[in-house]
Order: sequence, then structure tokens, then C-alpha cells
Amino acid sequence: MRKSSILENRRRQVNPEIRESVDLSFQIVDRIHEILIEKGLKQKDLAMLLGKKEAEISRWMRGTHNFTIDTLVTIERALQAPILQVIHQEEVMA
Amino acid sequence: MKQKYKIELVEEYENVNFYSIHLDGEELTEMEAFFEKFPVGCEYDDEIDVIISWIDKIAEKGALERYFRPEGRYGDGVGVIPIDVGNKVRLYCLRLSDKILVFGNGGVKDATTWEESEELAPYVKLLIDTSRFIASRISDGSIVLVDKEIVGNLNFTHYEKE
Repeated sequence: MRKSSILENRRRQVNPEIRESVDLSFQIVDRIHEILIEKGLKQKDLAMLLGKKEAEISRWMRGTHNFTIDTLVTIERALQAPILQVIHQEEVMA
Repeated sequence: MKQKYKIELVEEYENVNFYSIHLDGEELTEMEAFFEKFPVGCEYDDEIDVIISWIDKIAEKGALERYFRPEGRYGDGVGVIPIDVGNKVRLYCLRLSDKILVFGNGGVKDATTWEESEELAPYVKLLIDTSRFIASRISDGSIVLVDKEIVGNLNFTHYEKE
């Protein structure tokens, strides 16, 4: 499959921390999207539940937003569903 | 001013194809020219890293509408790559479907809106015109979107106001 050598060269130099942050942000927004679908809600409903503008929720949902713990807790409470889970040592060992 | 260009396939993935505008007489596509403006070590490294990481996630997941930040005019499909770090660098694209993205050029935001930016406005206008040209060719059948591919006449002429 075709690839651009210019992009490929630049890709190799991407800071892995930034790549992992974007990856996690995508996982979070995909999970929020999944909960919204499951509950038959739209982004504007989430905005209403959080007392925010729909534009702000859309901005969060694009995969590069740096979510704070406070924001995640607020969303989890509003949607009454878990988004992030912390792994414990026993699970790592298993 | 008359500007001839074509739309060219730049990268292929399982779920999506990335195309870019290639201006007549230029060596690089507009997408590649954008990245060449920001060499490693420049002051916008983190923003470029976010842009590339985002592009790579789109390559994996497809160009779903909810990942895009609309720019341009309502309904023309023109968007900007969303970044939350620094938020100064703009790379513009045209989303034709969940499987087809056409990248334009971009640069550093130097005005409140793209319309007010001498550097960025031509890039957005070119994509807005391209969106219009493609829509017209799709309706007359001279361009067809087949899965990840744009099939048909991909040569265009853009007239820019002096």
C-alpha cells in the first residue's frame, strides 16, 4: 500500500508520549460515543446534562482533547457509566 | 490568477485513503509541503506530533465525521485537524466520506479567523472550491467515489482573485 516517504520519515520522530496521549484520548472519546449510542443520546444531550455548549462537547470528542480527571468524573456521573478503569497489580501479574 | 492542479493519492490504508492536492509545477503535494514547512526541532514540534498521531488514528479508524473540526463553510466538508496542544498550527482537509480524505496545506494561525489570514485563506478557499468542483463532477458522473477511491477526472483549474 502506498505511503509518503516524507510522512513516514516524520512519523518515525513523533514523541511516543504524544502518540500515546492521542491514542488514549481516542479510546476515551470512542467509549463516550459508545455510551451515548447505547443510551440513545446525542452529543447535544451530553452537553445539556453537563450544562455545557454542544460546541465544547464536539471539541472534546475529536480525539486530541486532554481530559482532566474532573471532566471524566463529571461525564461518568452524567452518563452513569464507567469510562476509565484503573488496573491493579494483581491484574497486571495475571 | 489561474492555478491548475490535480488530486493525487498520497497514502493508502485498509479503512481509508489519503489524497492531497498537487499544484502544477510543484514537486510535492500540498500535504507533504505542509510537513516540510515544520522540520523536526522547530518550535511547533509538539503540534506536528499531535497532527501526525491524529492522522494515524484516522488511518486506523476511518475518517468519521465526529473526529473532524469543521472549517470553511457549512456543509462543504472542509475541516481542520483538531489539536489541543498549543493550538496554533492548522492543517486543512476535505472529508469526502468515512473512507476518503483530501489534504490541503496549512500553516501557523496568524489571525482570529482563516478569512482574515493572508497565509491560510488561500489554502481553505482552494479546498472549498475543490469541494464544489467534486460535488459538481459527482452529480454529472465524471467523478465517482468507489469505496476508498476517487475515480474519474481529477484535474482541476482554480481561479484565484488577484
